[in-house]
Amino acid sequence: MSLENIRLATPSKDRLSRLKRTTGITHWNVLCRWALALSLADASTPLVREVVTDSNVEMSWKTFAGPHGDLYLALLKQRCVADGLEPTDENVSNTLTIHLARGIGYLGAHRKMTAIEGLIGAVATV
Amino acid sequence: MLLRKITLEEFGAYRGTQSLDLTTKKNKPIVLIGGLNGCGKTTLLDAIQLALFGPRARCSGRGGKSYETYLRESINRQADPTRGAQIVLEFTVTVDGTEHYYKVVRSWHTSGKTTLKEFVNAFVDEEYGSRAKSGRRVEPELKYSRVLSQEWADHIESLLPLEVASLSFFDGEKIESLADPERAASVIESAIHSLLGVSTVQQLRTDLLALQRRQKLSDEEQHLMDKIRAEEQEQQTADAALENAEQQAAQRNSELGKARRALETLEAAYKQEGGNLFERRVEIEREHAEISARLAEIRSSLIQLAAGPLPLLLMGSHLKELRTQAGRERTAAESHQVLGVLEERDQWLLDMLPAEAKTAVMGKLEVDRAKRAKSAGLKVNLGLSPDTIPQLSALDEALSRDQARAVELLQQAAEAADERVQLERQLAGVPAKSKVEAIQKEREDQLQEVARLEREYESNLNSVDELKRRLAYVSASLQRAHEEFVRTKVKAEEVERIIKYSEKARKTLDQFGDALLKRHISRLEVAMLTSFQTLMRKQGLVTDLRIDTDKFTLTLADTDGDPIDPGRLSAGERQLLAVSLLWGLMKVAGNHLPSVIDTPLGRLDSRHREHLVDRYFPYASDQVLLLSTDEEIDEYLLGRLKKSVANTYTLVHDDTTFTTSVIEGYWWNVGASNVA
Repeated sequence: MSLENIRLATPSKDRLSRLKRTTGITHWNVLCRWALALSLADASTPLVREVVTDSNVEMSWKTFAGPHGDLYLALLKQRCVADGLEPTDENVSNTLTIHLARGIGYLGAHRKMTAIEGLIGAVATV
Repeated sequence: MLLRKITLEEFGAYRGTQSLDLTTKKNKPIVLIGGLNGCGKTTLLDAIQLALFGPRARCSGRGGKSYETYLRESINRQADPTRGAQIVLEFTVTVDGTEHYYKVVRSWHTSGKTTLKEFVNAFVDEEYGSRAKSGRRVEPELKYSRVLSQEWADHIESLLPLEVASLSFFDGEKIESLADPERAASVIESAIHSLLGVSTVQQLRTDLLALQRRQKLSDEEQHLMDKIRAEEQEQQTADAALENAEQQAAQRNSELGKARRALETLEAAYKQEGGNLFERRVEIEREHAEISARLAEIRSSLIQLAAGPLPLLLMGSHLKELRTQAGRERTAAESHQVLGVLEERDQWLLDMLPAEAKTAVMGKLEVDRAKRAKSAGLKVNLGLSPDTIPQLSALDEALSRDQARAVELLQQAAEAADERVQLERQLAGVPAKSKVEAIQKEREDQLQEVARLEREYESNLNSVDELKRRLAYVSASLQRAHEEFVRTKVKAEEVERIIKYSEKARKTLDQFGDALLKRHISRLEVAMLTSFQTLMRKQGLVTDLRIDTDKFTLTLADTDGDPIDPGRLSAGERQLLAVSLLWGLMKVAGNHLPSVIDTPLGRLDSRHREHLVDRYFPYASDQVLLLSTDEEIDEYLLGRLKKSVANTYTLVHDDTTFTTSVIEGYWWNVGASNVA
């Protein structure tokens, strides 16, 4: 499956590098999970359809998804279907890449999200 | 002093050995020696003086000649000059209450043309007086005395001063000159000084002065004094140093006090400027750090939490959909499985059924199966795993747990952040470091200054102590030196006392000398006047006689009190005046010296001669040697004098051999030596 390895785009990588500093979260995968969740939570379709994953940051799906890999995969498939796409491997992988890029953008854009309290607060105080 | 015997050997005109016994008896003081002019009467007088005084003798025959020439010429012309001449004089003197018998032998001879040797040998018998009591004649036991022989000149001066001797041995030819006021003055002066003991007083004064001058501090004492001075100097130095050090210490102390006060002021200022708060800053900062650490801890917990399933919480609705979908998919799967089984079972049932019922039942069963098939078919199939539903349930559980935890942590984080803000505000209230820094630095400097001053003060106190010890040591040493000095001082005081009292004694002696002089002079005046009046034919001519105490000049006064010029007196009268001067002197001196009177009556008339013979010669002294010509003491006068005469001699001159020999007796009683 093409989800074996996940590679980030350079702008995403730069943003994540800053977020690593500001939030204190040291792992790329944790931040990426939050970014994916944020983007998937937004029902609108991402405007960017193509992302060039050209940075040197790369991780396996297992590393990315952690213990809840099945659920993330299910959610991605569900998104594909919701967007009117066949939940093929290719589509799932594409969706992941696009949403990851958008989510990272969201993380950096929200001032609150740049601190750990804000990040957690976004889910905990709901 | 009494002359005992004179022996002449080859002296002058005396050829060979000539001897005269000059011993007198009680009430017979006169030894009468007759001789014509040129027989050697004066030579005899010279011999006595020469024997006693040697070179100092005032011999009539010497004139201006040197002593050696005189001695050479005094050797008898017919004698052998290399054997020489000799005079032996024996006499007794009372020394310290005892009569001593002396024999002095003066001899001389020539050896060669120019050299002349003179010898003086003195013999003495110091015990003579004790053996010769009650006037009996005792042979003296004479012993040669080397000391006396060598120092005869000094010794004779103490027995019979030359000045005195010249008064008691006088030449009648020259006596007249004594009447001259100038000459008389010097005679009186010397006589009073030497004969009457005034010179002794003066000598005493001089001796005292010498004693005084001898009293000086010894070198050791001087050294001690120097030492004391040095130590006094040192003590002064130490004293000054101590004072200086104490002053310094006091100054340091006051400086220290000032510095401490300044420190207090600075500390007060420091407090006022928020110094204490500043000190609290550290604490606040510590607390701040603590709270920051806690916050960081909370954050790290949050970060850990963030790594969990929390992001999935964002997708609540999607998860719900997923759950429904999963439910649907399960149902579809179940229906799919049941459908095949049911078809088999339906077939099996249909087979068992009768045919009539078969169709009806078959229809009913097909409807049921179609219904079931409908539920098994899904519009969307995500191909979810059959575990999805339990996974979702587990996720729900985990999410609710993590959410609660997140809320808790966020609460804590907020509190910590609040507290931190509080602390940060407090820190802002703490004065700016730079503002306090200056005063703090000043305070620290002041603290150091105080410490420095304290050290200096300490060292000053130490040096004061040390100096005190040193001073004590020096003082003790000085004390010892002083004690030693006191012992010396006692001696010094003794010296001072000696000086003081000798000064006093000298003054007293001076006064005593003056008083003695006056007394002697007044006594001399009386004695002289009495003598003069006794001897003078004209009783009323001179009624008063004065001797000036300063100049010793003689003044005569007549009945009216007017002074008489001695020049107005006749030659005979002047001779009498001179005789009475000598007599008066002898009387005042106590008649203890022999009087040798040479040619006593030269210019006198018969009345005066009688007066002298009757009133003077027997009383002139205890021993009177009368050297006379046959014209002076003639047969008539001899008769008047006889009862006082102890011995008579006649000097006989042989005109052919030019030698004189001594014969006992006088012209009119030759051979009768002891006229009773």
